[in-house]
Amino acid sequence: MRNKLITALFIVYILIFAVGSLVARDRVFSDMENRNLTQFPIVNAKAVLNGTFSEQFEKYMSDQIIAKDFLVKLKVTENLALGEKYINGVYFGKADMLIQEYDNSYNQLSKNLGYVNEFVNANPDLDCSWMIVPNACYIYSDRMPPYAECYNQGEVIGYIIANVSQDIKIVDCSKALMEHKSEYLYYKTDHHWTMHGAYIGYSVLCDALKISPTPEEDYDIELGSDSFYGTQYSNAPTFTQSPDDILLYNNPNGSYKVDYYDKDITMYSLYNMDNLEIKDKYTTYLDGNHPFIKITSNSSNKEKLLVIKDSYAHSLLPLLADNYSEIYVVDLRYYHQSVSELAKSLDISKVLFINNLEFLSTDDNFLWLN
Amino acid sequence: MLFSSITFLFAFLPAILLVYYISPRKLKNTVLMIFSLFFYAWGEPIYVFIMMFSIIIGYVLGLVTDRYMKAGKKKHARAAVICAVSSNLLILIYFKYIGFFVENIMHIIGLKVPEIIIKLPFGIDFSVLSPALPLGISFYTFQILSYSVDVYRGTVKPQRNIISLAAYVTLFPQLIAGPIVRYETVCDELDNRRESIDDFGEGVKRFIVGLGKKVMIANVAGELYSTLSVLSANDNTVLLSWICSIAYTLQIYFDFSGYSDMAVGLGRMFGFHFLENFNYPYISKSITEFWRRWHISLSTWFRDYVYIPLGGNRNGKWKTIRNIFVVWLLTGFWHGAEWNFIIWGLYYFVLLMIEKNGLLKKLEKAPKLIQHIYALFFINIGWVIFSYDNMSSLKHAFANMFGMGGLPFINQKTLFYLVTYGMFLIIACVGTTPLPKKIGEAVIRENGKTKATLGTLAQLLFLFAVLMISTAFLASDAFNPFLYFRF
Repeated sequence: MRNKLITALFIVYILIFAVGSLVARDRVFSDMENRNLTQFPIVNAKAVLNGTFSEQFEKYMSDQIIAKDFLVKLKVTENLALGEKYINGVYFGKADMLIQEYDNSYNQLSKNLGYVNEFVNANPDLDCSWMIVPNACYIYSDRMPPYAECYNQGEVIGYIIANVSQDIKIVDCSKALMEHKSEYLYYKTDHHWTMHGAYIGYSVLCDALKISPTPEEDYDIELGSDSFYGTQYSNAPTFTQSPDDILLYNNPNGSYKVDYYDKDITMYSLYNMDNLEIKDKYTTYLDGNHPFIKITSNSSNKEKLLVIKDSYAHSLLPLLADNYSEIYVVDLRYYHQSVSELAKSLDISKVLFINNLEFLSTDDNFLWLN
Repeated sequence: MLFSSITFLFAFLPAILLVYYISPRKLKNTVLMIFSLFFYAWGEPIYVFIMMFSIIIGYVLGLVTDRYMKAGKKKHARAAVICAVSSNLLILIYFKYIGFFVENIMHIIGLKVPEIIIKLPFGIDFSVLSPALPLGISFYTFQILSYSVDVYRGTVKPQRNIISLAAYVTLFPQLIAGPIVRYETVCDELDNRRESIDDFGEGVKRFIVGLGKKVMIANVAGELYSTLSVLSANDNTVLLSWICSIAYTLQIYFDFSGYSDMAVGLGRMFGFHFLENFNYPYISKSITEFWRRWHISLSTWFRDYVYIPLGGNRNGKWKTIRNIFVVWLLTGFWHGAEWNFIIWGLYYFVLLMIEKNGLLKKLEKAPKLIQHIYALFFINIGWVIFSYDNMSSLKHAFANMFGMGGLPFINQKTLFYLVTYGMFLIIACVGTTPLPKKIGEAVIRENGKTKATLGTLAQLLFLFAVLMISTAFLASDAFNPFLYFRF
């Protein structure tokens, strides 16, 4: 009797997955994992004989299995239940924090530093500042799992200050963030900072640029979403993870226009509210990644600003928009033309770099700067 | 195709079960053979022809050997069997060892290994002096060899049906990672077997347990090992290098025995009864005992086809030592064409000789705990030798473990790994003992009707959970290596 039941269980189990995966329509993209899924591979004699067909087919099978999202969660939950605290590059910290790992080898960082120095030296007329933002593993070090180590980002900032050109002003907001470290500065499930974290960065930046920040209480703070699961969650999803809030800071006196040149779109808001409905809700801020955009506001300051940034800037620039009537924003990952020429043609004299340390230590697109 | 893959579980296996069970009795071996050839060709689309060639040699020369034996022409029969054995051995030696020999000879002469490439159709390059190793060649060659020799010895009748013989050699459950199933074990079942739901259920249990061992334990231990073995000197500690070696010791046991469990289980689903390949090797109290419990099909193969034909222990002390030496040299070399495998084999030769000459008797008087620690220590050291095919990394690993690598004993990273993997390591260690099986048996023991129902329920739930979590690991593209590509 027992063996009959066991046989039945097994047969039904493999048939459900076999038939289910066969019948279910193939997915192109996994929202949860935030990546493209393998499609049915091309069959030809060469691919079969050199083994690439079977290799691709096995990837296709495991990518297109039914209930894949559930299975991925089950796996990570099992790891977690056995006490693992570091899964797929994600630390499972206290208070439900999924903290991005940071392991600096100074290799890429020193290259990037060289590119920035070269840019500054080649453009002596430009007034350059560089805002450096530490990551959650540094500011929230007391939320890291027991004994987990993260390379000391204070040391890395010291290295940057010691090696950077004299002609660029470093804006280090780590001290201010540290003072607020019990607050909601970084997302639990995403590698970015929250808009509140960005506000603290913004006030430090305003001090350095000698402009006056909008007081935090002057904003209407709107809860855009309370169900944001970010990139860290995509890397290590579980059944038990609580989601994040997306906060939108609205200045009742501001009016804005954003030109997204790559898509030829103009929006009259700093936030793309449609993106609150998709998986990656962080793209609500300035519509996520674009090579080159222009933010125009009703600010009384007519000085033009050129910003060269990574995605940490997306939640900071909506605040800075109240201090500059024209901000041009370049993302070197996608903008591969001369930045000096751009500054010249736009008649710009003020340049601001905004980077988080993890990006600065790993990204290899700074070479496009020169 | 690994057994531990989505493709095997939800495409190959349902397909072969369906076709096999609806086929008439006469065609069942043909179905097994065709699916097994497909299974092999999936990973080795070219080399499948070499395996077929080996089978044909074994088949034809098996019949020839038998005919001469029956005609009383023993010398002719001997010639036929020598021909069968040497041609299959030559194929094995060429594909597995030619690269190793050429490289070492050239190194001694001081020349570079010349690259000779034959361009095959469809853009496939074949390197003559360092051919890629055909999957599972050591396993299936040893099976064909045992068949040829057993026909000559008269312990088995020759197989007259080439499909039955091909079905035996290619039988996918044992094809790529063993166990080495002897022809005599399955010859009756090849032509007369009765599948039953009881066998099938037992097979399913073994298969799921094996799958869980491979996917949930071996792969996790393997991932830990592969992280720790490349740790930089700044991060590494003496304790971490020990944890690293223990992770490998756990990985190779759970991987290999998990594979054997899956093979035995799959065999039973089709009505075959293979012999056990592992018997809780890590509860051994001596190295001698360890080798009675580890990869049993390999050690008995070497005993029956190398040690005993060389004369075994019947020709005096020195010849016995020589025979044991040859067996361990070959055992080591069988695991891969690298020096560390030879060293690993000879390491066991030395240990076994020491045990044989008095240590074993002394050990038996020691407390059991000491015996276990002794055996596990040397088994673990053995796996360190096994795991590094690069001599300088091997030296480095030993230096680190024995405090000569200039490493601290412990650091914060060590504590982190202990905290995150501590529970897993404890569970895995317990899993190497018969304890989980005993607990399982106690739970499902049938006494009284209600208890039996609960036991069944518990068993079904357990099997379902292991199957589901294993599927989850596979669907997540988790670390899932194949360790036997050198064998």
